Amino acid sequence: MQRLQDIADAVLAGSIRETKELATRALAEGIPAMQIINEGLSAGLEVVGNRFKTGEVFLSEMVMSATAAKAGIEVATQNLEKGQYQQKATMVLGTVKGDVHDIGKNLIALVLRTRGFKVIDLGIDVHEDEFISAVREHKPEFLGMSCLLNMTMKNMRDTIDALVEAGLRDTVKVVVGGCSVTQDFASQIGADGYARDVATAIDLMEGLLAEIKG
Amino acid sequence: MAMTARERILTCLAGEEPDKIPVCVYGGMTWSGGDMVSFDEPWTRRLMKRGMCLNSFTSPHKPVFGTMGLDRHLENVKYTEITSVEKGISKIRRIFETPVGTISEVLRESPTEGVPFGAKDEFLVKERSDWRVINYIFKGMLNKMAPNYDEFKRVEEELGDAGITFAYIGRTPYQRAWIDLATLERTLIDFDEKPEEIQEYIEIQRQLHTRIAEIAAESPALFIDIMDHPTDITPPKYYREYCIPFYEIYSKALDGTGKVLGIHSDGRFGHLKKEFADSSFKVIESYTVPPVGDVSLTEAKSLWPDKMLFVNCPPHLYFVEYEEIRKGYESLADEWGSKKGILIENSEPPLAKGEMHLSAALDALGY
Repeated sequence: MQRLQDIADAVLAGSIRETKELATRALAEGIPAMQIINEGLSAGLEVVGNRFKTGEVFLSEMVMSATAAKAGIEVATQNLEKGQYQQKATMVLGTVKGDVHDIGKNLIALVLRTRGFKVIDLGIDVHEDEFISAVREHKPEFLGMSCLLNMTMKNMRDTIDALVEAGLRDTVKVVVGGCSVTQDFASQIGADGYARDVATAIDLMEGLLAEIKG
Repeated sequence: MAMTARERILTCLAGEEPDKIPVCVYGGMTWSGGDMVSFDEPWTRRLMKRGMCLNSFTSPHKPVFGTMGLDRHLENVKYTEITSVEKGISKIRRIFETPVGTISEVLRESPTEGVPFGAKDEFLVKERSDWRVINYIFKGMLNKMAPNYDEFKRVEEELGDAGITFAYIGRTPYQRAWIDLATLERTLIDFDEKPEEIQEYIEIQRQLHTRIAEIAAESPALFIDIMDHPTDITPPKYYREYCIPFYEIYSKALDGTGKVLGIHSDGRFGHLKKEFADSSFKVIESYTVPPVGDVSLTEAKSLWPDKMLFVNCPPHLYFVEYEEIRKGYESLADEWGSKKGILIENSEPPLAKGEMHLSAALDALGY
């Protein structure tokens, strides 16, 4: 359908205003909200993600596209009843204790929300007990931890240890990322996954979700 | 005869070859409790005797706001601070009440020792209408903008031959918006849709930077450093639209004065290679080498032959031991292949190992 292709193209171009206008028009034309999201907004974002992985687009462009897609989702879902917009999984997310850097974490939250994930963002400088409380309360499929500083990486391990102590480790997949984190480190601390950037985070989450749903 | 630390930097800024690659530390940042210049640290003095240079940063203009936000002493603006402690973390709410509306931000105490309030829990601009208040405050700042040369001269005298004072300038409009004033998402939406408030914001920023450029051009400063921080989430189209033209304002004002224009830019900016080449600044200050940065020294030399690099605290040398640090700096010097056009600086050397780290740099570079 041309209208949905136009929406995908607007997302690809990172044009927030155009995406919102096209989503509004699509709704007025009677196209169902979920079709606008899946075949227009998410389709455009998927192309951007693939191009990011091959180096054809830069992070800055991916951020603009994700912002456009999120704005489009807000338009598309404005008239939906609660529960009609089904989210595929929940992630509790935060920057670990001692670290106040949030740009990477915020990008992950932004992109995951546009891909149908519910994100409970705990913010920055999140202590182990706050992660544990949030896992107890929200029962997420995923716990995501981010850090930028070398000196705060160890707090990811402490949080995983705290999950084990609380008897919650098997209830949630733990994924980690951030400037100073590596796959080796993620494996050492017993994380279920490591993502080096936004695009690989999406692939990682989709893969782990498929495992969970078995 | 060996050059003094100051002579070494001045030679570098003049585009000539110093006797050694300058090795500098930012004076009085995180490691000496906030003093302007860390003369009093015994280990700093020991390294200064060997030739290490102190870089101090001073605003060439008053009111001094730089990268830190807004002037708090404006006519018709009531400024209030409310401190609180939430879950053991100290926070400050800063409130600006103006005739056109009220905005506030929340800063939290940094968990990093020695670093004061930094991270923002809330930004000043939450709704589009908040830009009107921002514009009102910046207009007030523009109207009282004046030189700060006396303070600048005082710091220069204090430094003497031990260092140099950089004149720091606040960010260009887009960078200022998403780093200092609003969330990235709010900024992206508002700059894409460009409502009246944003158009007015950009125009006021243009006037503000024009005035600051005039003040900087007549100041005693030799190096003008725009703390712009373009990084991998700065879109090239916005860099072209809102950064490059503002650098031009400064380069035109500084033309013929002998002063050198630089931008503070650490992190990753490989997507802006062409844009940097088209920019009028001469120094990339706070340059991050790979693997954390994404442009090697070799590539930088080829991409931007007319620019100088002030290489800041290579992250891969941050936690390693003396021998690896020394070899790391030797390797950087070998890769650059000259003593011209490069300077080593440290904004945040490892607190507990500052002397070891900087000694290794001095040893590697022939001090």
